[in-house]
Amino acid sequence: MKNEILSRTDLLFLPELSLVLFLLIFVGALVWIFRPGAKAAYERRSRLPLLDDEIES
Amino acid sequence: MSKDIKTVTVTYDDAITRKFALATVVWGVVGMLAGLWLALELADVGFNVSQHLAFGRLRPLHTNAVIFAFVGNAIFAGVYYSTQRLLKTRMASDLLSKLHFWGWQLIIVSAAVTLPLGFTTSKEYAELEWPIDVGIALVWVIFGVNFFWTLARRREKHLYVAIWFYIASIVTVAMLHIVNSLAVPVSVLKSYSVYAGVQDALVQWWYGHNAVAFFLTTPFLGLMYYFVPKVAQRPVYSYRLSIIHFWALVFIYIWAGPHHLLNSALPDWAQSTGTVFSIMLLAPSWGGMINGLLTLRGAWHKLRTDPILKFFVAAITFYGMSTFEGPMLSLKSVNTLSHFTNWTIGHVHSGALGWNGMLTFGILYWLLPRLWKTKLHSVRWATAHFWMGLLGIAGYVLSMWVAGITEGLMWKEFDAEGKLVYSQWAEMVPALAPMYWVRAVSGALYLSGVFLMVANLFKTWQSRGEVADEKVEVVLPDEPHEVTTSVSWHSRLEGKPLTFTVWTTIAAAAGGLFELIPSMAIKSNVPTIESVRPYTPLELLGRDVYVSEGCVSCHSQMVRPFREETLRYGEYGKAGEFVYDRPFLWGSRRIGPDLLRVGGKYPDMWHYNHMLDPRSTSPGSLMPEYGHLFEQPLDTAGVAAKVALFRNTFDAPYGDYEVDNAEILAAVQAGEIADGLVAQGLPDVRDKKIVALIAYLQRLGRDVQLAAPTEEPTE
Ligand code: HEC
Repeated sequence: MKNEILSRTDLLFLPELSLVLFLLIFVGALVWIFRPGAKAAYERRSRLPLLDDEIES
Repeated sequence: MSKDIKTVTVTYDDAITRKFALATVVWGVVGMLAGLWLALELADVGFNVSQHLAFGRLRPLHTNAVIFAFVGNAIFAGVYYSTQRLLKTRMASDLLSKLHFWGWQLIIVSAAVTLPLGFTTSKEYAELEWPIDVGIALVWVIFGVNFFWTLARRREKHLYVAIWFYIASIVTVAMLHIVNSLAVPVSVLKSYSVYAGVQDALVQWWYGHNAVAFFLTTPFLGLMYYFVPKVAQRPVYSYRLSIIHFWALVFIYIWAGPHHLLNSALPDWAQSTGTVFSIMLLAPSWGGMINGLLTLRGAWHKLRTDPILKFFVAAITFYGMSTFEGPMLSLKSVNTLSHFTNWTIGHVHSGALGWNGMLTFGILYWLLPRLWKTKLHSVRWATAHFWMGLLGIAGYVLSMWVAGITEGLMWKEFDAEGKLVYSQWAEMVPALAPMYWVRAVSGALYLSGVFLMVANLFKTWQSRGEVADEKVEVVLPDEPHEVTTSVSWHSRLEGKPLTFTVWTTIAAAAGGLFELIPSMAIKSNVPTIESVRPYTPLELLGRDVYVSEGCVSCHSQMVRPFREETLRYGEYGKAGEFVYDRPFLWGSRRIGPDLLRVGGKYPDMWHYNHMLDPRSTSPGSLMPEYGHLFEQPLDTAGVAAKVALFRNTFDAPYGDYEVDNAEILAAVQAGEIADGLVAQGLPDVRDKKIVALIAYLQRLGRDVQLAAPTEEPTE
């Protein structure tokens, strides 16, 4: 029993650590995505499926 | 752009798209027919007409055919069509494309042959034996190489969001497949998982859940982000939202696997992590749904006349519904009721029939007439197909909700004296029969819609024009495509497929690693139970029979720590009991009762009669007859090698004596059981498969019963 608990608590920090990492990265990504100035770039990109089989000029 | 624009003619490879699209239709029919047959088998056990098509053998064929053959070919058709157009280049290698196509069909055919014959690992959606698994890995690599090579030769700098979803799918499916399929072969078509018990369960559901995520969801989201704007002739509602959708899904999905193992012997922290991430999934999934639906802003009127848009809207709505239901089913309390019941079956079908099916049909109706240079034969037929499909799903899902909640409640029902109201399983079976018929009829309706589509597409094909690859003029890559004032981080990332792929891989791998590593590390510390011993040689062979017959399709081996379960079955399942179980056989569905503690519950003769004719001992039972096990010879020749493998590779504590004399030991134990049966006037079955199966069933749960448990269930 003791052995069991010890062996588990040892590694329990891993899921927690990764949760924190995960949140940080995610918030970071959100900030980047909503950066001012990104909108113009997204504008054309979002039209890519509509441009794909026409001559583009 | 006033300068001269240099252009080049690109000829897309549309033949490959046509091939995959046709294969989608063919395998869709096969997979759904198998599903309908299974539905009939549960409505009336008489439909189990042969050992090869009995429920346990047919179920994996159905799931594999629908997931990997129907949905798989649909993914490839859509990916080949859209990738070439989004990247403005032909696929890098026609040869690789062809190898991919024929290799994939070969895999499907080998699955369709081996599964009914009983060659299976029994791990859900990963049932195929090791040589086919190797084949899958090879074909997947061929697909990946072709895809990334095409990326490298693209004429469009930026990768549209659909391409990201494809990248994530290709990378992650490879990782999932390889890790979960690791096994040690003992013969050409038999292997044992390198993981045992709790670890095997965790790895399997890390895989199983993410097969849903990265095979049934992310590639289809890529298709949604391409085909919905294409058909509606409008750009996606919010490109930003699509980026968030992507990263959030890739990051979160991979963690949610343990929600398939709630209230089991899996460590608590893993269960809770699974639940938390499942709830979080709701946000990006609904973001994606909203993004898909709002893409049709201003085009809603077209919905009235255009069946393709109808299919798309229904598909996206079902995506939203099943991604709402999923997190709810991941709540421990809801899961207590829903797990092992038909509710789960309803859930997966709202995903498969609703999301994957409807999106696929929409794409086929749009794509094939274009590729055949003609118009769809009948819009009215397609509209009729839509309504048949929708009604079919509604009947299916509703009947399974009712069936699931009914059986879940019946399992738990106590009378005033605190005894189970339905102590015999067979008493509960008839309650579900009406729902099973509604389900079968609804499935038949859905399938009739598919047949209507087949007829419609055939007529369309008859009126085809001159079928040729599409040629387009595209601007050469050295011309600047876009004048961006500020180059954002993400747009640079998108321009670099390699970096992008690495990040995606890290995102997808992170959750898996952090969940799997601790559970592997505690391998030696799964609380050992002194009395748990490895299976005897004969029991090992019996277990192989159990796996081969697909008993796990109907029977769980995981008693959960609830009063109604410990009362019905006995001691709840503990991690230490499963250390010699390769593969684990916890199961995901209880059409019959749990078998974890069935050992010693009945005499051998009961099992003999029950396996020969389940209705003789349990009137009204849905279990198929296993007469063939009383005829097929028990092959003990390979057992020594199996025991040796378990000792030498998997460290099971067999002595030299057991390894050296495995065959004799098996024969002796078989003789004891057979003699007992003969004494009761039954035929001699000492050299038949049934004797090994009885030995295995009688062993189940005995080690723990012997240990005289003192712990109380912790509800
Ligand atoms: C179609 C689903 C189905 C399949 C496949 C199936 N069973 Fe069953 N099984 C049932 C049902 C329903 C019952 C309960 C009624 C009865 O006793 O037959 C049951 C009962 C049992 C029982 C009695 C359990 C108890 O505690 O009373 C055993 C043992 C059993 N099955 C073994 C097997 C084995 C071994 C296989 C594979 C060779 C198998 N079953 C395949 C549905 C199935």
